[in-house]
Amino acid sequence: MDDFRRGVLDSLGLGSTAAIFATIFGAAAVAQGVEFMEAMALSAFVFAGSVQFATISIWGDTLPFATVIVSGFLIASRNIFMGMALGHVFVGQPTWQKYLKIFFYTDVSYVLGMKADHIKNKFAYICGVGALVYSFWMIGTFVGLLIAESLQKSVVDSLAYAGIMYLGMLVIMLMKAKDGFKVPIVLAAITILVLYWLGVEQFVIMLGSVLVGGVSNLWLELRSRKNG
Amino acid sequence: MVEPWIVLVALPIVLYFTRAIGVVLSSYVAEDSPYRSTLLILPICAMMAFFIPGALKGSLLEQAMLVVFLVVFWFTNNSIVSMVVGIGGLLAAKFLL
Repeated sequence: MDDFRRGVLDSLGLGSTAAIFATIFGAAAVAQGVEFMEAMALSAFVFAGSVQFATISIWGDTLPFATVIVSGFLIASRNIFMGMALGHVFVGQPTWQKYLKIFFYTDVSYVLGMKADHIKNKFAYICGVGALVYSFWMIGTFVGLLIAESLQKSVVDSLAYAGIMYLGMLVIMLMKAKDGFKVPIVLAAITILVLYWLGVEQFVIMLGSVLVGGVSNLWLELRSRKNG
Repeated sequence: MVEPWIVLVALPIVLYFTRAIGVVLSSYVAEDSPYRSTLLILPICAMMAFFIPGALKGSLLEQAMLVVFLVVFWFTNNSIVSMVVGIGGLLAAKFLL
């Protein structure tokens, strides 16, 4: 079996859960007054659940441009770190393929890509993952838009927490994929809790977490190299 | 304030930029660099920075469902079963309580 198809098959589970999340997005979009084509366009061209949810929460006849763009960037800024961690997979690919397929590079591609040590052609594998998740994401959004009328807004609101569950699942998958990160992860988690309780902005929380986790991991790595 | 179509054009560009910039920057880090293992931990820290505050903002019932969901996923590694348990729990809480 080629690695593209392996990626498609391996992402069936996470792709299905993404489809459920997309269905919730579609229903929530209708509840927020987003037009059918606008919601489909958001899923088709943005393709990032957390950003889409944040955007429709302030949807209206006119939108605060700077707020939407800055919050979209901040929420999606984890993509930068995911790209830096697994970006070497894209090296050596034809330019048009590389820059086309970067669009499909999401949390799920990253998580499964990190776990796929046995895969020879990780680029093809990640493309397979991205293709399936994108298809499921679009289908899920479409279904959500269709069934939105039959769902109460309170039900949609109560399901919005499923997005957090999905994110938690990805974090666990990443933790299980690679060992040796335990101390920096614990330190980062403590930092997040402290900053959250101090009531600072989301972006500062992320910066603090990334800084503490990154610096402590670097220190441990350099120390272990020094000790041989 | 702008019309929605402007956001529909601008937001995908911003998202694509966040995806592309990391991939471009990664080519400047050598495979055996001590920074490589640190790069692997940054996405986990970034995801946790959204997950933990988001989890804490939920109601007590939602948080309990989240714990059940995560425990099920931890032991089964099955995302579909875990999501069914999690979403089923959220809906059950909505209709039964």
